[in-house]
Amino acid sequence: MSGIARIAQGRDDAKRPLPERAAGREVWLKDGDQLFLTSVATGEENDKFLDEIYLYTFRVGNRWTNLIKDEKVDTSGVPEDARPSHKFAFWAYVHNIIHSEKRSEDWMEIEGPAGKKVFREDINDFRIVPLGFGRSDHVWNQLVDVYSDWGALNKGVLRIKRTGAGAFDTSYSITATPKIDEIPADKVKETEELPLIKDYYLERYGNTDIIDIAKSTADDDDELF
Amino acid sequence: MSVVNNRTFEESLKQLQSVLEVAPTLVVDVETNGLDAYGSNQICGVGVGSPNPDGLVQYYPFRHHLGENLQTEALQKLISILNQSVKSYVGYNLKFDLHFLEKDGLDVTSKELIDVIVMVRLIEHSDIKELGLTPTGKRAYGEAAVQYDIDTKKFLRSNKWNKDFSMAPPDFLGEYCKKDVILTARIYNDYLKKIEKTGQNKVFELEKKLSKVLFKMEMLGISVDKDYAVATKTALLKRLGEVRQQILALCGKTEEEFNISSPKQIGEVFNGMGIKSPVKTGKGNESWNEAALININHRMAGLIRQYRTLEKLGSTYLDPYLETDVMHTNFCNWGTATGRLSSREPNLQNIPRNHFKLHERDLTDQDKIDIRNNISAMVSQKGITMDTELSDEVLSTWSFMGGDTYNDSDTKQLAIRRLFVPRPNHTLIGFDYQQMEVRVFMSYFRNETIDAILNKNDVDFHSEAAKLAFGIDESSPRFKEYRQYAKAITFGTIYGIGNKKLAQQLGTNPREAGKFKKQYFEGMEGSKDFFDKVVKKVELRGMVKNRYGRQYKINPQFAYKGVNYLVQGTSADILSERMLVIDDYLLDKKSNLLLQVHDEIICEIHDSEFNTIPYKIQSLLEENTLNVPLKVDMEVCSPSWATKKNYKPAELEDYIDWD
Repeated sequence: MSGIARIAQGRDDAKRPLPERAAGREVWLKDGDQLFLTSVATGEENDKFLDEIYLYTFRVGNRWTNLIKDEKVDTSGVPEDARPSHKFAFWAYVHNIIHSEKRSEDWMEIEGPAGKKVFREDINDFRIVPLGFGRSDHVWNQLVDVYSDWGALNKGVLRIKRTGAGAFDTSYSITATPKIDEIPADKVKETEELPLIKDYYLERYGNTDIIDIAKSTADDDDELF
Repeated sequence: MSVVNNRTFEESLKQLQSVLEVAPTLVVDVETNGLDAYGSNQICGVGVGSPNPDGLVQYYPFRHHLGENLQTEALQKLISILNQSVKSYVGYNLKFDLHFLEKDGLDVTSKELIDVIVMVRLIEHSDIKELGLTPTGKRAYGEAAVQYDIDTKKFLRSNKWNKDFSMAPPDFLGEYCKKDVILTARIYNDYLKKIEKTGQNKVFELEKKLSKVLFKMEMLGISVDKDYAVATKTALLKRLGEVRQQILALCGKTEEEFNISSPKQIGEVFNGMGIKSPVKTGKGNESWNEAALININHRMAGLIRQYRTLEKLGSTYLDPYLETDVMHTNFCNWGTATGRLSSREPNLQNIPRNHFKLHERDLTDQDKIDIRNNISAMVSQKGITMDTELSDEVLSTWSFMGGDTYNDSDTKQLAIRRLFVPRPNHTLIGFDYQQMEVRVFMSYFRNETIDAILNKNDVDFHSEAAKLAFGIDESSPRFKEYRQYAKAITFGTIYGIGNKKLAQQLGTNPREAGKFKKQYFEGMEGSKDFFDKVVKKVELRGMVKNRYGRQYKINPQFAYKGVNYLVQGTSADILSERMLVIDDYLLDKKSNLLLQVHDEIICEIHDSEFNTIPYKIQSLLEENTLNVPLKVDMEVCSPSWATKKNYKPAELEDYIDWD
């Protein structure tokens, strides 16, 4: 398929109603959001729930588009000046996302000690957490610190907080919390059916050549980090 | 007997090894160049010996300034043999020696620790305070047995080697060390027989295990907020300067003319102002100690007392921590006759609970009441007689004494407990027994009524005792008054006070106090019988044993003290027993046992265990082999030991980053 055809197909796909498209399972955070999760990935050798990926993100028309860089994927349609961002991604059981702004009536309001309000979205499901490595690997190193401290990534609840918006101002903090929420017993079995990270990305950002990112915006692009 | 040298080292080591193969118990005594095992001080030589006083004794010199030392690798070889072959270490104040040896690689993880000074405490009369090797040796075997110690110390002093034993040559110090080893072995053997004879094996086993737990706690220590020490020291010095200027202004002297730290000069200045001390020294001279200053209704007396208190706080609790990250106390499971734990450097029991204010403040009426209460509590605690009514002007000099709540954001407050903080990723949690002594006291005369009280949650024992003893109902307007009587009599019985002192506390005369006491004993079924039995036993046999079999030899003249020994001692042994259980429970955890102060145990709980193990620790502490119903409060000390709040497992809100 030529680059034009591929892009055209992507455009058509984007026009289809959301339910017809494969549901994305990545978590996207906005400025101020805090994610509370229990990692399915352990961080140990041969951990199939943690992987690194290279992802092109570029504009096609007015939309942002992702394409995984992989030998199985034809990337000839990617603009010449586009550079793939290097990310790490892992499967996690996401308990909640704390939002700084209310964007859904379903989210529960929580008031902090100084009267500050945040909004809790309960997820209680498995999600992929993709993050850029950060300047000088500072995001990645936070995960490595957790691994060193706990001996594995799945020993407690992690808080991941996004601060800032836009490619140049965004940063993420990964903090090991003393919370010990585990993956619910009835959900543990589902981990066996989770696809490999690479397979998931190939499926979502490879096999249909170029697919529109359903919800992502330029704000979500942390490729520079 | 030999001081080992490079020529005899290999042969000596072989001898030691063959002795250990037959009996893997070793007596150790180290010589050092100072007393700080956690700082730069280190061993200069190691004395080892068989527990048989006629057996092998050796001294291995390593770091003497004079004479022949063994080569560096010799120390590692010796330590390696000890790690491989020794099963039990015997020593006098053993933990001191082992902390030094651990710096050089000794591993005591799987070893039994037998501290002879603890054995001595179990056997000696309860009135005996001097438990050191020399006084014990002298009491047990006569002056000749310890003459070597007196002579050696004298010689060391004359050469100015007494502060740093490494200055003495190996041949000289080695002989001295070996004699210490032999004396320790001799006492060990003899007192072991005495422990068996007096049936104290069970409590001795408890103490051996406790020594091990305490050794670990000492090694770990508690984290110190050095920055707080430095900042507070600066603020304290500033405040001391202000107080000094006020004192000088009051007496019209300059700093050159009046040294506030000199009691002699204080006397001269007061006398110059026409003020005499109300307290005399033993020789009949005027005293200017705390008891005297408290009883002088003059602002300068109050300021001098404030100056001394603040200066002492700085030198005792801030100076040692200006350059250190960890405080290692020294727990003494031989330090009290009852069996209660004491500690040194620092004495944890003495670390003030209350904070201090480093500024002047205007006093409200409530402040004045609080200060008078504070003074009265302090005076009573220190056994000082106070007959003087202080004017408001003098009272204001006491305003530096704060309460037990500490405001972390107020930089003009000083709390010594604020120095002690958790390590990263940990939280300090205090587990405090509720009214432990009263519960143990009541457990000595358990019956259905007492059991019902002991098993109640959040029970106020003194109210219950008042109801039982005086038949008074809570709705009575005089209930509070009778509750106070019951409280005073309960503690009076536990601590063994007479009718005269009880009368003072009840605000009545001794005859009336005696009547209340009689009524109390009649109402509290079994209490009189218990008290009488203890007294009778001491009068007849000169001793009494607590529930763990710990023996107290008591002068029959003071037989009433037996109740105190039993209650305090049983409480202490319950605490020790539970500390062993907690230590065992924490073996595969990331959390640690850190301190024991009064009836409180402080642990540092790792973040990953914060939601789970505190409840388990609490329930393990409440259990005990005596089945005394005990209750334990749990409080989180955050961000430091100075600030306490109720423990509650963390929820999502606690982990949200609110910034």
